[in-house]
Amino acid sequence: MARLGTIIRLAERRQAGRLQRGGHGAIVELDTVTVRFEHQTVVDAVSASVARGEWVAVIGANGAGKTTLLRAVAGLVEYQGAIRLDGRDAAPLGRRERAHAVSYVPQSPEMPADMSVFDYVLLGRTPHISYLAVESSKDVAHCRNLLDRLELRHLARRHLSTLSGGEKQRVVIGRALAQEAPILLMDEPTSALDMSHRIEALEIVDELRHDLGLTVVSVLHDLTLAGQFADRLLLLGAGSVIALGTPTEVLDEATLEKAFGSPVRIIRTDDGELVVAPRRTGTAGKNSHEGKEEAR
Amino acid sequence: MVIAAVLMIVVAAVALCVGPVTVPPSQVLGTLLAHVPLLHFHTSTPQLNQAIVWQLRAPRVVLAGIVGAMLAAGGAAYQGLFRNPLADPYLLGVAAGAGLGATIEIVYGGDSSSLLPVFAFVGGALAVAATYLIGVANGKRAWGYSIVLAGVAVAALLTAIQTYLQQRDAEQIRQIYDWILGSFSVASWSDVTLILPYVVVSAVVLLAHRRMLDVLRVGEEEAGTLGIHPARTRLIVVAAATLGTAAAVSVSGLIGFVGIIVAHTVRLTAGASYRIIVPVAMVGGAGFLIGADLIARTVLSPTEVPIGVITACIGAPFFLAVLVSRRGGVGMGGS
Repeated sequence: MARLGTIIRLAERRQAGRLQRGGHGAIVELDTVTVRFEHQTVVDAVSASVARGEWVAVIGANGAGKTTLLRAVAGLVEYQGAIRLDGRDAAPLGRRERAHAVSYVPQSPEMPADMSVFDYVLLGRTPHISYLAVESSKDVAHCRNLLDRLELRHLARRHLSTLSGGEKQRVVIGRALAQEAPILLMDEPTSALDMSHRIEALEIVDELRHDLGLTVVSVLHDLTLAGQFADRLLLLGAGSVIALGTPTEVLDEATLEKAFGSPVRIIRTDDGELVVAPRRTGTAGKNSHEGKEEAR
Repeated sequence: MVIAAVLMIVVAAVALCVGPVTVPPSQVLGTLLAHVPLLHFHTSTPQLNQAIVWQLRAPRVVLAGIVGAMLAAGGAAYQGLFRNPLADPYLLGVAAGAGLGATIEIVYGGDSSSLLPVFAFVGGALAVAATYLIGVANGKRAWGYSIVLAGVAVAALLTAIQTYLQQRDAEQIRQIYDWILGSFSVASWSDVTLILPYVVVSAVVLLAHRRMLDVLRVGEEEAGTLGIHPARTRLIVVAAATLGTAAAVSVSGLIGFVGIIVAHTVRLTAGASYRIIVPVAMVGGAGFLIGADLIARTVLSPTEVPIGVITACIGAPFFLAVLVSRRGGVGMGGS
């Protein structure tokens, strides 16, 4: 019952967030951002903006440029065009300044096997600690609070290698949140998780987004989850923007078929959420079906 | 940290008391206090015992402590930088360079050996500089991999040259061999003052970067998103570790094993964070080498056993015992 209450509360918050979107100004602005690797254009003149407190999911087929776009915002690849973070041009920002603005969760984070959960989360305080100093009691207290909030306190002394997939994901999110950056970038944060842990991880991010006023930009492969959690979707195809809008606007059968090269069915549930179901197209399935018919 | 410090002090005290002539602890303490500036302490210790403690044993204990601290801290730093549990302070060729420098001095330097530490230091530092330049020339993304390979190649080349010089001048083989095996038998206060400035700089830089070594464990890219410059940080740590290691081996010879086992023992017993490993490894390394030197000069007294033999003989079983008792392995891998 309590779980249901939480879900309803979060759904209300999401709805409220969508209604408020655009009222807080853009915190991430991409102006014709282009990324090239050895004469190959991976991201091609992408322009978009993300409002403060908004969750934008970047979706698209493999090789569409989703991860590269996210890495450009994180400052990990060189780009042409302009990226503005909270109104400031990101290009001249030093690493520490950028780390104050943006935290980044990669698809496969490096998690040293014998490092403790607490020490790992503490790494997120690096931008707040002088280069040659060690963490202060304030940094330690901040991380303890985060562990409490993520229900990880009991794992604080455990080695990272002993954690389950879901626990690891929460720890990685904890490290990112320890940075206290207003923008959280996540590259497919739930790819290694089963269905219930996917929902759990995304619910945590959503709850913290509202409580801490975070802006979230994430790559998500699961289009149904993207539609459930994100305020808007940025659909990329061959490095370019195919569509940008609310889940209802972007999750359209024709648009997705064009982007993924494969037909899908969009099902609207009784409570108004969209479910994206792929359709089978392969001849293998058809041959198998025909074989069964012949056998009868 | 407290346990390591207490052990080091106890071992150092025993090392000052024990030898061909046993000096009572009270006389050792009196001699040491008599040399504390501004204290004006007068001791009744016989002059001979004072000379044994202050002129022979104290510089030896201090030098062994400094060298042990530097080798252990250098090993810990390299293991963190390269995320490789087998990394030791000689990984980038400092030992081969120092060995070649020492050999050149012994073969061509005449009877005086006063320049031997200088040649060894310069040889070690130049070898690491060459390794680093070759390693980074392959691009910073392949940094860790290519620089280790460059270290192997540079060390092989320098060792080949050193062997050639050694074979050409067979009369000097024994002297070169003794240096390579390491010893504190001729340690003096002048050796301590010679290397102290380099060692202090190296120790301060490594201690100051102990948290950065933890940050670098998440890899180049993620460390960058946490607000640091991984390449710049690595260069500083390599330079500091090289400075300290080259200074240490220049006066002690090539003592093996300390750089690997001390850091790992600390990791297995005190935790995996470099915030703890670096300072505790310094204290533990000092205590370990003082103890090894004590055994080296007493076990077959009056003959001295090469200290490298002792570090391997007591270090390997001890390390294996810790490893087996912990059953945690020495994994430092990425994930």
